[in-house]
Amino acid sequence: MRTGRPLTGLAGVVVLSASLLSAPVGSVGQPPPRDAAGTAAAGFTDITVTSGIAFRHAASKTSSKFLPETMGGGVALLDYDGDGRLDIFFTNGAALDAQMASARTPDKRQPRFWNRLYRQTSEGRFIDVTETAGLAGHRYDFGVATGDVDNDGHVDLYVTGYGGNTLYRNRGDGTFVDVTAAAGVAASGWSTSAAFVDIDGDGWLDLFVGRYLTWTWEANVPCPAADSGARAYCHPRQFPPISNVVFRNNGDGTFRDVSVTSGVASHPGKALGVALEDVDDDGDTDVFVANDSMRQFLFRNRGDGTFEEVALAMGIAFDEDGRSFAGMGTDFGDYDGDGRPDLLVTALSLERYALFHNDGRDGFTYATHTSGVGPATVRGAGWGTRFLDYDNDGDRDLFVAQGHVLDTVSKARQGFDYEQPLLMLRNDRARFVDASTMMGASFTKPAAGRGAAVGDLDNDGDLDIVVANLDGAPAVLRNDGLAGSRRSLTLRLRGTRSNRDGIGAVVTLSDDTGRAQRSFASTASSYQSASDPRLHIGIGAATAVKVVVRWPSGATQTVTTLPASGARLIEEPTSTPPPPRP
Amino acid sequence: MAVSAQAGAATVPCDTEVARARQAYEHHQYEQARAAFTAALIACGDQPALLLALSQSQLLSRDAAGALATLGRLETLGPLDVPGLKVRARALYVSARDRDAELTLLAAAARSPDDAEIPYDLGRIYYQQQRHEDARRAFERAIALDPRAYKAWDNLGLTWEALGDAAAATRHYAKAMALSQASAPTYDVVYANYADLLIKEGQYQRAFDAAAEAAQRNPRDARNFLLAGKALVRIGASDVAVKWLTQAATLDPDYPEPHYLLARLYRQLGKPEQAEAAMTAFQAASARAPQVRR
Repeated sequence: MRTGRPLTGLAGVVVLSASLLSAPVGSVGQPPPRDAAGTAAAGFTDITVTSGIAFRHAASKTSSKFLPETMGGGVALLDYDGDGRLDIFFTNGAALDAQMASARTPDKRQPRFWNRLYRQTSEGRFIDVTETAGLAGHRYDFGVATGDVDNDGHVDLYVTGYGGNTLYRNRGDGTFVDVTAAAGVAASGWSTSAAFVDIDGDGWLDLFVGRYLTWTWEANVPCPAADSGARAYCHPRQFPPISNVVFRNNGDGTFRDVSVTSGVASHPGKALGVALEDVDDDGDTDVFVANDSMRQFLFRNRGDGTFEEVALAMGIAFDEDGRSFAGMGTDFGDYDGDGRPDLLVTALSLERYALFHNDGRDGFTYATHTSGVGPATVRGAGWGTRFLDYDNDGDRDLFVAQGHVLDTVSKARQGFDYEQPLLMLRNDRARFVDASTMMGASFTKPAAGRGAAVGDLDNDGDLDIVVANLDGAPAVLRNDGLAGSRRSLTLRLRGTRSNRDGIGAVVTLSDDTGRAQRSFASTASSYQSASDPRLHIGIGAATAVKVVVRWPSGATQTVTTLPASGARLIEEPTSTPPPPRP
Repeated sequence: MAVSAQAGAATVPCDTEVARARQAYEHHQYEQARAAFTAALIACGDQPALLLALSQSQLLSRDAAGALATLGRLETLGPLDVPGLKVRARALYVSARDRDAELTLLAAAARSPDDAEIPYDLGRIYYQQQRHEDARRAFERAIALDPRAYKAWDNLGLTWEALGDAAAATRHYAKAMALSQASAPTYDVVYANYADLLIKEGQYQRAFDAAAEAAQRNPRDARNFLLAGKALVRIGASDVAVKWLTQAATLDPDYPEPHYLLARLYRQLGKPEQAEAAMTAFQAASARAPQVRR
């Protein structure tokens, strides 16, 4: 049922934070170290073990080199119990053996293959609540999307896997119930990244599901490594593409598959990453799909329930020369502060990550080389990624979880490692500088990075990162850096006519230096992961003077009573009629 | 003319065919050379030198399979010598049989360790396989054996670029340019490679200058015109860029990149029909183009 539930004590349009916005500062682990001048030392601290996270992703690698073994899992940052603190959900594999066949389902019964939900306590520790929550899972899983599909104020989970997906409705009492069959959102085949998005602006979150390949256990032919002839993971060119799936939310607990009528089904691809933005600024949400080793897709939302695939015309289907690349993780972000969302797509080693600058009506320009992203990403293979202002200086930096897809790569190709360190590119006046070595020891430790999510785990005003590593322990990275000495605003949107979390809203924050920062409300992007639903906007030493929210309903709201720093809830007005759509 | 050397009276036709073949080869007319050497072999009989020359002509006229077959025929006369092994390795490389090519070159190197061409060819294989440290060592070995090997300097520059050291790449390109200035005035590839690097570094005017130099040295290579056009696009000289890119597309219709850049450029210039046509040509060329150009 659509919520009309008032927020306790929150009567105004702009109100002081409650719940997620009022958690104690610095509550995860120890407080960040400070130098004599009171400035936080740079870097992230790995608090995975000390905070109680015992999860290890289990890929269940076999001698058959089944492709799912190397695609890894995802991570979601969500406040499932509404206590104001982000909790963490990890997806996981299932037991495989070298003789897998379509007649057999990967076995997820052993606890080491369970997906895991960790609840954050008031002391900043994480407690495994998987069994209680009912989220262990059924399949070999990959991705996770978060969203409040029934607008009841409790975030729901959609978990993607091989052989079908699962929608878990959050009951609001710490438990989830599998409503996949009733909702009609199982899909089929191999799903990767998914995104909750209100496609038609009706106030209900619909679902876009990226699918990777037409792949079966039997189709996993032997693919020899380039040098030794030993068996390696096959290139995706070995397998046919498959179309993505769109489910429209009927608002009654059920969804309708509109893949064909929306036009999405007529574009088979090899989706790994999905990111949302209003690219053409027409008031509805467009969907970018990062495809592996083929052209990329941008599904422009026509506003009538259908999409037009326009990546080629917009200049983001290929690199600057028209060459395809292995699109994996992806995110939108306005890195040069011109008010338009730019796009990053991670890729394989030597391809360089594709950064596309949004030129407005002319489409995008490939800016990998001119922005500094090219030289910094020659050797890396990128997966989970986010534009984030990690140092709260008012511009968007770039984070990438890295690791090669081939676990044999170091034998086949010198200078390439399967396990790779994390990458942080600091934004220096719209040019990116590799700042990874300044991020602390956690950024020098190589791993097979895959999914990644970003959010303010300890509600201290800076962004933390969680990386889902393949076949190993995740990395929960607390931001102990310079951000603490700079201001930021954390905005939580509360839709009334729009979907409850305001997914799809465009938020522009202006400060007293004249700078305006555009943000887009979405938990999707990255790779198979879901990030903090709140909008985090660093402003350095400036003072925020205005926030303009363009809600998915079409309503535009201007908020001028803003604090110097901290968290705010912005509730969509119910009385103002929406302006006509352009 | 089916008169063989064995017939005794065939001395003149054999010599004539060989001379014709050699002339075509020296004038880089490899298709004609291939036909002429084939005729010469008919006239003269299976002679090792002619078979080797035929295989070289076949390779240079992009008939790697033919070259390998001819070398097989040569091998029936006796084990391949080092020149034969080198041609076989190059044919194998062009055929994307990298491991076989590598083994063939290693066998040649064992017999002729001071031959600079062998580590050079090994370096090309390693570069293609993204074994950049091996490639670097191989090109450095080639240079140590022949410090004037400008192609090795050029390829070492490419390798440094792949290793992420643009400054080292630039130094090696400069050396290759200096060496080729005197000994190979038509060598264009290093200028194109340098232009490519300069575009990545945002030095568009210098990139155009380098690409234009490459195009002047070799006006038959579409890549030279592509790079010049690409630099001009970045400079903002759209109308001139269209001409260079169109020339690139004309020189090699199977080369997708010029069509793509033209489509983007026409779109920016507000010429949707031309943009659509160029995009259609791009998609057609993409479907035809080889996955890896060697």
